[in-house]
Amino acid sequence: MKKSSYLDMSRCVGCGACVVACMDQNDVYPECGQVAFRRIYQIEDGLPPCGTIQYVSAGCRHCEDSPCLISCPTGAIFQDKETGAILTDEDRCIGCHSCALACPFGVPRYDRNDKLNKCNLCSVRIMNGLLPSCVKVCPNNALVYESINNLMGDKELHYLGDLVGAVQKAVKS
Amino acid sequence: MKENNLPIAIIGNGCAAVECCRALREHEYSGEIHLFAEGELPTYNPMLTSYYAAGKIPYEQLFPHGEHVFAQLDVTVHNNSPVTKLSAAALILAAQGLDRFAFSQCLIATGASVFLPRVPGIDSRRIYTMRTVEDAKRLRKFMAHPPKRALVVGASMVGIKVAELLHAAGVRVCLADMDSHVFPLAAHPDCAAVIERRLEEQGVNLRLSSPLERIEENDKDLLAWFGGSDHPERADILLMCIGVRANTSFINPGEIEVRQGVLVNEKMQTSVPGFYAAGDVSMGNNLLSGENQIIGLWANARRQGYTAGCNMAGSKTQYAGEIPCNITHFMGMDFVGIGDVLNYTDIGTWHSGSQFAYLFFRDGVLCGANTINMADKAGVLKNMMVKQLLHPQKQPDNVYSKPVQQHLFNELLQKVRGRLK
Repeated sequence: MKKSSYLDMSRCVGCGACVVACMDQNDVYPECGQVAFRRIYQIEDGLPPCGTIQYVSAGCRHCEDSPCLISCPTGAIFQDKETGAILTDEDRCIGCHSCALACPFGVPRYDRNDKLNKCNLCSVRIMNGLLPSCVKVCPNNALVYESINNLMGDKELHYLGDLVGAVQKAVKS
Repeated sequence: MKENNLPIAIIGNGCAAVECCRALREHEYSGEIHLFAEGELPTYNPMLTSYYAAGKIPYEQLFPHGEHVFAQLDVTVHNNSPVTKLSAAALILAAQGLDRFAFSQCLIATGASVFLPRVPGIDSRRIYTMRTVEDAKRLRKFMAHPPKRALVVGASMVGIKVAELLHAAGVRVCLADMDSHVFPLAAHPDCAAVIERRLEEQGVNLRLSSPLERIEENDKDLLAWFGGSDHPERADILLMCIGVRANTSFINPGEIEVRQGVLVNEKMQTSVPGFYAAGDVSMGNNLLSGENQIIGLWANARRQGYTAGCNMAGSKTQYAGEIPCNITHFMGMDFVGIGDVLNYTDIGTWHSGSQFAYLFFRDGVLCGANTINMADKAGVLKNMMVKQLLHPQKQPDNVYSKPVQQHLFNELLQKVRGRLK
C-alpha cells in the first residue's frame, strides 16, 4: 500500500493554509482561469447552541481503484507507478468531463482550456524526499502523508490507549 | 486457476477484451490467449471518433491503449478474422480464414455497430455515420471542404457531438429526431427544452417529432422527407446517429441466450458455462431497474471485461452492475443524465443563471438526475444514487459516510427540496 495524504477531520480548523501552499507549489493562478486543487468545506450540522461546524480540507483522494482513471476515454488519467498518485496528461485530456461523472467526491475541475486540473500529490516533492506541500504546511497536523495501514495502526493504538486509560480509571475509583 | 491445454478465445478487440486479457494475466493465467479481431486496427474508443473527425485529436489518440497492448499481455491476435460461427456445445469457433479453432473458455466482446433504419434512399453516398475509425476518417476528409448544410438524424449523445463539430465548422445544421425532445432517453422534457433553446440560439435548426421516411439524392444534394410534414429537409450531407445494435450475428441464440445483447450475470457468465460476455454486446445488470440492459459506457465495458477475465482465471469476482448515465460536453455546456428521469413520483428543480438541476424521486428515493453546467455535482449525484441502491435502508440525506460527499449532495437537495412537486 503506497502512501497518500489523509485528513484527520477532528484536527482541521479550516485555516486554508493547505490551499494556499498547494497553489504556491503548483503555480495556480485563479485570475488566469486556473482552479485550486484543494477546497475547504464548512459543514454545519444543526443550529446554535447545539449545532456543530466541521471543516474539511479536500482534494483528490488518489483512489486505489480510481473511477476517474477507468472512465477516462483517452488514457489521460493514469497512475504514477512510483508514488501511486493519480496524474493527468494534459495533452491527452479532451475536456469531455467523463471524470466529473465518475468521481464520487466532486474533485475534477477544468481550466479555461477545458483541461482537467487536479492534485498531483506533489509527486515531484515526494520523489525528492519531501512532503506534499499541503501536509508540510498544515499547522495542526490535520493532514498527514502516510500509508493507510500505518494510519489505521496508529488509530488502533490510540483507541487502545483510551480504553486502557478508561479501565485504569474505573479500577482506581 | 483454471487451465488446460486448450487456449482461451477472445472474440473482439475493444476495451472489454483488453481488460479481460489484463485480468487473466494479473491472475496468473499462463496459458495461450487467442484474440479474433474483425479488422487490423488497435483497440479504439468509439467515443473519440467525433473528436478526431472534428480535428480535436490526432489519429494516434483514437487508440488509448496504444498499439502493443495485446503483445505486452502475450496474446496471439488474429487480425481480419471476424468470427462467423460459434459452437457453444463443442467449444469450437470458425473465423474468416480459419475453419476450426478449439478453446477452453471464450469471451464475447464484439461490441456494437451503427443501426440504420430501413427507409428508401438509406444507401445514399451522402449518408455518414459515426462509430468506427473509418467513419471518423471519412467525415474528417469530407470536412476538409465543409458543406453548406448538414442534417443530423438522432438527437442523443453522438448526434449532438456531430452537430457540434459541423456547427463549429460553419455548417448550417439541422438536428432531427423522431422523439419530441433532444436526449429522449437521458433528459426530462423540461431539461431538454433548456438545451433546445440554447441550440436554437446558437443557430442549430431543430426538427423534433420527425420520423425519417425517405431520402432522395440528386447530383447536388439530398432531400430528407419526414413523417407528418410536406417540407423536406435539404442537405449536402446526412449524419445518421440513431443508435447501435449489439454484434451477435455469429451466435446461435438456441445455445447462448441473446436478447438485445448477450445476457450475463454478475460474473459476466452467459447462459452457457465457460462463455462470458462483456462490453457493448452484453446485457449486464442495471442497478436501478434490476433488469438486464446494455449500458454502453467505456468504464462499464472495462469493468465487465476485467470481471470476466478474473472469473475465467478462476478468481471469483462479481461486478454488481451500473446505472445508465452520461455526461455530454458540447457547445459550451455540460449536460448530465443519470438514472431514470422519465418514471418518477416527485421532481425537484433548481436553476441559477446558466445552471439547472432536476432531481427525480420515486417513492422518496432518488431515481434520476439531470443537470446543466453543474458537472462538479455529477459524480456525487451518480454515486449517491448507486449507494442508495446498495443501501436502501438509508435516507437520501444520510447515505454517504464521507462528510464532503454528503455536504455536496445536501446542498443540492436543499436547493430543490422546496420545489418538489
